[in-house]
Amino acid sequence: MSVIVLTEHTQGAFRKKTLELVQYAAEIAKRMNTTVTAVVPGAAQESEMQALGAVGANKVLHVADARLDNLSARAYAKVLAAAAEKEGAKVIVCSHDVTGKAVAPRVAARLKAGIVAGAVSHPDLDKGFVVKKNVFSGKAFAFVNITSDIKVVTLMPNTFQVKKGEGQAAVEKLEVNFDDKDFAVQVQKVDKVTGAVPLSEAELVVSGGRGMKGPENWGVLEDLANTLGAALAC
Amino acid sequence: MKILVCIAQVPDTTSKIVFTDNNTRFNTQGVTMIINPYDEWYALVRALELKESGAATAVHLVTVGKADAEPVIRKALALGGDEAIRIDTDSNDPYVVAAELAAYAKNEGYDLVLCGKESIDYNNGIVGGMLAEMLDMNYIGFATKVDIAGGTATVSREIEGGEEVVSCPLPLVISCQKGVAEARIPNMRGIMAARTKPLKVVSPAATNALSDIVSYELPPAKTGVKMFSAENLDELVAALHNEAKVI
Repeated sequence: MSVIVLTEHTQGAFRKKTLELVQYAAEIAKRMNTTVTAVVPGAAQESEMQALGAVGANKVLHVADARLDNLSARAYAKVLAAAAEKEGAKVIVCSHDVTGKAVAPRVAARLKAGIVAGAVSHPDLDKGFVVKKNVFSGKAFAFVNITSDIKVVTLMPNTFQVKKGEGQAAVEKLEVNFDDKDFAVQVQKVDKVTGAVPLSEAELVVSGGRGMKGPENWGVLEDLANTLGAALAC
Repeated sequence: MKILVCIAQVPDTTSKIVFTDNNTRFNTQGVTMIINPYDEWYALVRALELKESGAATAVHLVTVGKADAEPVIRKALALGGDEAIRIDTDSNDPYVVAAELAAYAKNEGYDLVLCGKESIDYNNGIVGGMLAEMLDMNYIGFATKVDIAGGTATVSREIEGGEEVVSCPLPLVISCQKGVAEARIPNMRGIMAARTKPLKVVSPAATNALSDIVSYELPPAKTGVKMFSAENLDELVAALHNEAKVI
């Protein structure tokens, strides 16, 4: 009865938000007296997958199909559903990012699971399965109780600090059958910005607005952000 | 190509957020309701552009809401669209909203379903993906550009750290954000025409909620802004280090 985690990796390394997510799942698993199973779609290094144990993963289910190297919401949802069935899971967690927002609703609909999108707390199990999230574009919080048997949660990245401990996860292969429909969304071109700190993973953010008067003054903020090692936002 | 645009009714962005009934309900008294901006400015306008270019034969608008949503639906029809459908129920559970939309849409033969990337009240961004699963369609979220030709969609979408261009055959569900279209203002002819365009009301399918908002909370009051003179940079750096602890 594990807690299932959808992991994301880039260039062989797991993203900071994935480490945060596995750690979040570990706290839920502790409260539910169960274990954490991290799900890794696509090519990944064995040592990196084992190292997820340091943030609380007990097991890794690796679906090594090369077609999963690019996001396919349909295929990823199938992978999560297969992992949940194998583990008898009642809780599935993803990051509240473009991947999680595409995959989590599909798997929730598939499994008839209630969902909280953008959680900023661990679930309170004393009151059912109550999770806090931002609403009204950050002007308030809502406490949402998921009442279905299976529950899906997407975690707002950068909510909790990552604290690495000891431990290695056991890695197993998971076979999932796909059909052509699962990969109907085909990538034609990718445009990635390398080097810059992604906003969702930034420890520090420099934010500018109308006070800068015009784009000709933006360079000052770029210099400040580079000096502080911060991400830039507006 | 037949397009369905999902429209949500939401509180105006400048609304004061107040809760009532022991913080269990959002207080709508005095609140102006509007079309969810992502649905209006991007999903709906793009659908209308596709009709104007001849790529689409019909644009239908659908809302899950009670009768008080009808003024907002008429505002959407004032921008364009051939007819609107109101599914006569209300819910803050995205599963219920998606299930109601799916129950209506599944036998109507839509080739393309467009929605906004999220609603500005609950900020879930979930209904589009759920609807796609329920209709057994593919889903492309966070589109910044949508083109349709020969039964295939070419979509630019946001991904981690950048953007990618993907293609997918119809039928398809796409959630839209900035870049998909330019917001329009309804003209007088559109406003007059909207009064008589068909607005069908359909009964909801029996759907059980899988989640429930049990309470709300307002954030703690913000402390004031501290101003520093440009001549006093040492004091600013000290405050950033010792008080804000960000450097």
